[in-house]
Amino acid sequence: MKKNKITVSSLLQALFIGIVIFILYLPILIIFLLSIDSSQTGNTFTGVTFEWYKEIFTNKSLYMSIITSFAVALSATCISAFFGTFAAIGIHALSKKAREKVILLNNIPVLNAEIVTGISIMIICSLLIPVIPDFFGYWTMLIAHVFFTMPYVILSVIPKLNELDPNLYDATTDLGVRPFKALWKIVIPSIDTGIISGALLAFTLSIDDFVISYFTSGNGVTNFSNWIYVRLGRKNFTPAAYAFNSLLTIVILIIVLVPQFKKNKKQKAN
Amino acid sequence: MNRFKYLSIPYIIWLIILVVLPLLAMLILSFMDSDSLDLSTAKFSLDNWASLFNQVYLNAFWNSLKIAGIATIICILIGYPISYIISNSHLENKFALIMILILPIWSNQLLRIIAWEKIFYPISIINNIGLSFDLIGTDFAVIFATVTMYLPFMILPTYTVLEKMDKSYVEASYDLGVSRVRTFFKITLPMSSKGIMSGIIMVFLPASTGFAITERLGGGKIIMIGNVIENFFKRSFNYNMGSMLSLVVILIIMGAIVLLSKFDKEGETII
Amino acid sequence: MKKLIFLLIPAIILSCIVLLTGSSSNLYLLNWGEYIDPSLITKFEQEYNTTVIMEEVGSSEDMYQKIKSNITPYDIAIPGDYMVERMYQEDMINKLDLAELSNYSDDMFNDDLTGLRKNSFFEDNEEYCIPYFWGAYCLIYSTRKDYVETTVKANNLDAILNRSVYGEHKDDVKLAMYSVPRFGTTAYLLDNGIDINTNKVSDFTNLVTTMKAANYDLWADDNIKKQIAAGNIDVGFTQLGDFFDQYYLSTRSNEDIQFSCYIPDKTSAFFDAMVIPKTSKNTELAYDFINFMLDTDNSFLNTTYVGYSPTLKSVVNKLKEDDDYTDLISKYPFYIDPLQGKKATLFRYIEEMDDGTNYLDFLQNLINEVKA
Repeated sequence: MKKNKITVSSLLQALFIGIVIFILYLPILIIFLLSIDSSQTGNTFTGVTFEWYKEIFTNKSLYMSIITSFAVALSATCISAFFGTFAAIGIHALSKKAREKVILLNNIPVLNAEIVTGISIMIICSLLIPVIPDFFGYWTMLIAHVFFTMPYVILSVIPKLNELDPNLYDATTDLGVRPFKALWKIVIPSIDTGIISGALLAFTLSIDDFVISYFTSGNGVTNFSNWIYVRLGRKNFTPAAYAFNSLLTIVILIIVLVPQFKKNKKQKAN
Repeated sequence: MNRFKYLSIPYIIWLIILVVLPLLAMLILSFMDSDSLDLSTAKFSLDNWASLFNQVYLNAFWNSLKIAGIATIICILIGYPISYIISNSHLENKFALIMILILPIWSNQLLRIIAWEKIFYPISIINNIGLSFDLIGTDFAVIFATVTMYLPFMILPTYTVLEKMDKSYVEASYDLGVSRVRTFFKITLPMSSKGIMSGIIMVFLPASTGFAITERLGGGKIIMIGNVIENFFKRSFNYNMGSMLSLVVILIIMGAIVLLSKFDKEGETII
Repeated sequence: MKKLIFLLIPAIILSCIVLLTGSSSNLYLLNWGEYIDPSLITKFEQEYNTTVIMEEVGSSEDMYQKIKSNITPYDIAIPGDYMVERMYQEDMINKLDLAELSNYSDDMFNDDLTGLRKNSFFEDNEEYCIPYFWGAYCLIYSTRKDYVETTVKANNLDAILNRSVYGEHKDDVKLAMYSVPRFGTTAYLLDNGIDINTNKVSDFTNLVTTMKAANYDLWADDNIKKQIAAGNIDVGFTQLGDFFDQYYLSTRSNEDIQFSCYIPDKTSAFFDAMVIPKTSKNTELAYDFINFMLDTDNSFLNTTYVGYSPTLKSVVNKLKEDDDYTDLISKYPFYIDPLQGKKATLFRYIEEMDDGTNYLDFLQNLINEVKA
């Protein structure tokens, strides 16, 4: 292990990173302050209160929208990751020309403005209304989220497939393993990191989306971002939204940092 | 593994239904004058495309390009060095540090925009700590907020690429006596260019086509192409103009990608 | 890949929660954000043993789009006046059988409003919509700077269209304008004595130059009232309801009220109304809901929660007799009497300008030019 030398340059680098982290977290800090501010308008700080945290559990339209956001994001992530991986394997197996064409199509949801994607899906789904009346709501939102997240999964997985040693699969089947088993047991684990990073990206994009969700919601189903967007003007929406966001941030921080500390302790012990 | 190409067929069908069909629909709509989606009263018209060079739209395109462009460049100038520093450091918790930098994206974007509003309006909660800025409506506020929203999306791909880059090339270069600066520009930068490309796409596209940041932080005064398209689809229900402008945006972006892919010989990867 | 299974379990559980909420007898309500007292919804659900599934939007246009797309079987929607007219013209709403509403009587609404509906709204509108809240357009201004109030009251709409009326302060004063094109252009039309429902292109000739010169610091919808309350904006042109809405909010947050409201001599009126869209499947329940909202006590609760002006005379009387509101009414008489004897008109649905261009596109282009 190289010893860490504390030089002027490394101090400056640390300062640089520190400033950037500070600026990135500034809005999160403000959100936290607003969540404990007893003023509903957030214009001045009138006192500390935790009533907004309690309200998360009593305000039905709020917690339903939160549950919906997570339900859609988690489901869409699972579906996109699963089917996206197989689609990527399929695309990878195509001839170069066919592959390029499919990737081009695949990239359009990525490159398109969200509002255009939202409207596109709404148009297609509304054509199905006569056939499946109560279709809109949860299912359409889910389809929309799967639609715009799957391309990212595919784009994460394909580079990993490119890096894969082509002989690995051939060797496995030569040994008598059936094709799908070879896929499941050998290929997929080796592209694991691609699937995980794709899934992570999918979840991130889904949980925060409001434009596409707006056009594909219905039947009273709405997600957290939409809930906020609709209230962004009318009245001040309850600071319980800030409270929830702060809670979420703290939980994620814990999930991310605790394993790191555990790892550090282990290494120091060794 | 070639037998698996049939696995791609369901996905291709899915894409055709959800991508190609709407594109065709938008193409048709852009050449018509219709009452939103009601095609029974629609008539063929070139008016939509003819109005493309209207000053208002050109302004909007320019605003989008300018603001998203500057924001993207700033993201590269800040994000890439950060990824480089962390990747080259010998910290034990590199990954945790990157995660800390990425974490803000899981915080709801609308709430973060509101937080920036509070910071940039002169009278707000931050006065309690003696600070006050009057920056709503300025390009600065919009660009600054855009950078903070999308910086993590530049850090992630550049860090990933730098991390898995084969450092032996760099070491070999040093061993041959090449200076650090030259090594960086001749070896590191080209090898990590794919990460920068990903970052550019993940930052520039949403920044240029979004509308929420300009609406709230631009005081409603700055109009980008996203705002114009939103108005057409949601306020005046002019799906024809909305479709036309959306197609133009797609064409510009695809054109840019094609141009840039001439630099990136390896092909289609974006992330 | 196997790690995904850990995600699948919560995904399925949460999805079930979302899918299983909702009973067989539902009322689908399409409303503005925070435009109904939540306790009233609970009360209705209990009284009629049903579930209210409410979707919220931020504009009448969103409401129109949602109903038109036929996605959700809305039973009740509460669009703005001109949107009611548009829906009527496009055959999107049901004619109401007023006999079904036991709480209804022809003269139960504010006389000014009834007069407006009779004289300057589409014929038979009484049978298609039931007023929910109403008001006038006004200038909300901050009282933090003393010169603002006097200038606004002396200059009416010029206070929002012409900076020079502020004399030495003409560059310091912060002005805000409604960003919805229809309402953003109204101030100009009113000030110049032009019919707010005009569709003549020639009437708008000087609009861009005038409004460009005004150099607004903020274009927004509901953010205007918030920023005026905060003190970041000094004068804004917006709806009366926004004022009281913000008033209630600031009071509840224990903030000083440092803003007030003035209805200019030339103004326009608006009202939001309950309609039953043709998508409705549970029409009987829809009538129950309208009837429920016409009950004085319910409407009173709603009025004091939302802050917009009540349409029912009985609610006005109740407010007058309620000690809690005597101060408010004496300070701001336009709460219960928005027009204050001034003449006003309602917004009508206009499809096209006289040169054939789409009305909304035309106005949006004007506003875009002003902003450029």
